Amino acid sequence: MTDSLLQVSNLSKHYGSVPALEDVTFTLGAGEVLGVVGRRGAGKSTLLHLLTGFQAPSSGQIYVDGKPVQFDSPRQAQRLGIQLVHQKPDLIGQMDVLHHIALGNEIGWLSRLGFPDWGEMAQRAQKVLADFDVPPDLLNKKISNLSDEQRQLVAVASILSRGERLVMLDDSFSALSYQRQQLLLERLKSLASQGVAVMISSDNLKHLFAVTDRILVLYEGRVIADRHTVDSTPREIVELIVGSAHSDQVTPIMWALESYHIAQQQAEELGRVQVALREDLAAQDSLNRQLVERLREQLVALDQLNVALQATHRRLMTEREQERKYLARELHDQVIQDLLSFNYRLEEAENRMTEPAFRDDLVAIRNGIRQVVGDLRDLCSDLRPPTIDSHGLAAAIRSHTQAWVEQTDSSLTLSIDSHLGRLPEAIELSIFRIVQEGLSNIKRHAKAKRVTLLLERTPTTSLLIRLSDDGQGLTQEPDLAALSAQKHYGLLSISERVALLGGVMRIDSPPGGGVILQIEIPTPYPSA
Amino acid sequence: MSAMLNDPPLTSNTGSDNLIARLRRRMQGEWGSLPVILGLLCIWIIFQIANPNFLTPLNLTNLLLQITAVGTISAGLILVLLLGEVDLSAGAVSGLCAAIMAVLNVKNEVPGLIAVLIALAAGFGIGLLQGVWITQLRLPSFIVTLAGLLVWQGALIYVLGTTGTVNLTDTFILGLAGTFFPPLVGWGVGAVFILIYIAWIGWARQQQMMASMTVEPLREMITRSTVLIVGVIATIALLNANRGLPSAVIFFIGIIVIFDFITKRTVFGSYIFSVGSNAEVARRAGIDVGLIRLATFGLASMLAAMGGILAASRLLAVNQSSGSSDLLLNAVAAAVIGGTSFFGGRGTVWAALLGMLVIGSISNGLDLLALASPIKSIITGGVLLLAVTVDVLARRRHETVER
Repeated sequence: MTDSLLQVSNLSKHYGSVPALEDVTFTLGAGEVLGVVGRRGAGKSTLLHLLTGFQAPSSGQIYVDGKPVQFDSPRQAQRLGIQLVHQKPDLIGQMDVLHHIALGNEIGWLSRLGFPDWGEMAQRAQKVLADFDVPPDLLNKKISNLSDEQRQLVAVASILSRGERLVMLDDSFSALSYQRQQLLLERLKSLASQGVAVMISSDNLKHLFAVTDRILVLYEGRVIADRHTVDSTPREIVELIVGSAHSDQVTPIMWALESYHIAQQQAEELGRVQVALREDLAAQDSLNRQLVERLREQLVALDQLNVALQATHRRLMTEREQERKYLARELHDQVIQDLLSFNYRLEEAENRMTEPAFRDDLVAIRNGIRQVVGDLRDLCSDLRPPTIDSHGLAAAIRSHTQAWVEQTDSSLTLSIDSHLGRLPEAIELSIFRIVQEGLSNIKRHAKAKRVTLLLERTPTTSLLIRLSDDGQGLTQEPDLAALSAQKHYGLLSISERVALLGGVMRIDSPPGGGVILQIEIPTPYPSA
Repeated sequence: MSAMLNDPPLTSNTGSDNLIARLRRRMQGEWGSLPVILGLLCIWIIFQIANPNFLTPLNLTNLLLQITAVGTISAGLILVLLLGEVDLSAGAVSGLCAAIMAVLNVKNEVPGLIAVLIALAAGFGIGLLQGVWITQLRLPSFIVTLAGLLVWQGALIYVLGTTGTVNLTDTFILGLAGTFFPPLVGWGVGAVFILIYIAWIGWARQQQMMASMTVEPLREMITRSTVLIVGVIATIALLNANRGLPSAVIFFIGIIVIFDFITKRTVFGSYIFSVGSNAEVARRAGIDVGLIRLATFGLASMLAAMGGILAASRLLAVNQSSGSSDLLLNAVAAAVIGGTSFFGGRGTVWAALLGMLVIGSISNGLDLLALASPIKSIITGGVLLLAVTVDVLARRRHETVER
């Protein structure tokens, strides 16, 4: 019997005539983990109390290291290194955690009852608590301010800090969180590997099957089974606990036990997940808010860039128009006048010339010059519609359309709002260019017979331009965003001008052929 | 939570709100003796107004001498009260032990010192005997010590024999309470006391910090030390203005300091508190509850014997009424007035001094006013009731705050 740390033979306990425990016999070796199971009242707690000196047995004998012992108080059991963690922690509320963990196991000098060495004790206690993931500042808290779980941890820690040889846990898991239950099981396993014997009384078969080497089943105060854990199944154990092998009795209990512990675990997991999720959501939310904020900033920046770009574009356009205007004037006032004066001098020379052959040459040259002047005039009016500055947009368009009709074989119906009035120079020019571009598009691609051009003010003081033809229409639906990729350079130039004026543009190509270009431009009130 | 309640941030300290809050905190917290001190000041002011002779060096020296004997008994009772037990035999034990000393010294001519030591040992033995009855046979201490009260009273008369009164003449015994030291010695004792106190609190604080335990805020510690040091200096100045520092006072204060140290700073002391708070917890923790109880009963009875010896030394005789009448009741009242809980686990040995100062001042002041003894008793009873009421109410409030 020397190899067994604890040996129990025929241990019994009677309360009056009521037997609580009868003829319990088993052995426990160092480093062994023994589970004790049984129904409520089967004698689990009584057994542990007898083994730790909390109660005296009515009969039977306990041997420790092969020697018979009799415990009159828990202190005597503790002296042999036998410790019990109670089912419900009973603590002194006004003590702090450190004092309580050390209570009964103080380290000090000048005898056991002398002067305590709190530094050393605090270190020990912290080490034990750290195994359960408890921050060290718990040591300074008063017991009365602790949660149930913390109280249970204090009770466990005060036992585990004692250099024990045999630890008993009387269903000490229930107040602990799932995570800490696992930590405690880990701790017990590592204790067992160091040669400490462990006895666990628990309802949780999962725990028992996770750590125990043997399971002792109590039924109405008697040991009815002492099994090796690896050789048994939870179902067998439950059958033994219940005292019946009838599956219709065992199954619901199995089921209930299983689902109780699983539910407990799941509830806790759920709680943790919920907390994590809440934190996650909060983080996500703040991230989103940051992203939205950044997006907004970028949009604002983009907007400003766009505005700057438009301003530049507009300035470029204006400068180009100015350039054209200057060029046209230069051509008209300088080159054309010079040519005309040369032509006049040639005419004089022609009159003075008597040689008919020379005269004919001169006539040809003069005709050529007249031709060039005509071309130059056309060029000028292209560069700068001559009428637009003096007579306004309507006149300029009218004269342009006349010229256009002469150059094509299409008919054009022109309808211009009589109240069009004068608009700012830049707008008038842009509109003129739009019409010019649109008509030249039609001339080049549409092969149209009839063209209609409409300019009118809408009730909202916008200017509506509608240019429609009955030509062959568009081969593919034009995409305003991809005009340059589709090589619609005419339309692209129109759309750019429309955008600069802040207007909207629509191109319709009805199935019967033809194209309707409709542009709406917000205009200021006519200046005159 | 409690840390927050006990040491709030000491950022702002101006304004009366803050002062009141701090006072309230002290009344509820560790400094539970503040109400007693305030009450004592009130009593002194009232008596001083009623009779200008009250706060004179002569009268205050008398007051201190009057309380030493009962105060010593009270200190022993506090130990027992901390356990959650009671010792009704303390008065009778004090009388019996004083009688043993007197008879040994006077009739058997045993030297004074030996007689005193035997008397102290007898007190310790009586305490152990009662303690064995209480712990081993699990009888209520109330009954056992009540029986003891009767038995030791009878024993006192038996020991004194037919004469009934033994007059003391031994210089050593009479010197125990009757020596007055010259001023220089008084100042020396005071200085030593203060130095030891400062060294002690500094060391204790360092220990606590090393163990990373919560330490009392420095400011409170300094306040408390200052109050104590000023108190010591004032007391010694006062005593020197009369006959000098009496040895009885040194004994009394010395006993209180020693037992305060034992209860607060030793493992034995913390076991007394834990057994008194929850004996089952102590048992589970592996504390030999019986041994702690036994030792405490022994010490308490020894202190009772000490008180009896001091009383005999001061009164120069032991007679049949030694240790009887209201001696025990005053000792219990002093303990409770000083802030010791009747339910165990809460209190301090200093309560013996404070409580006795209150009771002694009332008794002394009423004597000065030449009031009859029944009125004295009634007033003392009223103060006791008031003290317990204040204590219980403060504790209840403290508990509700804490929850």
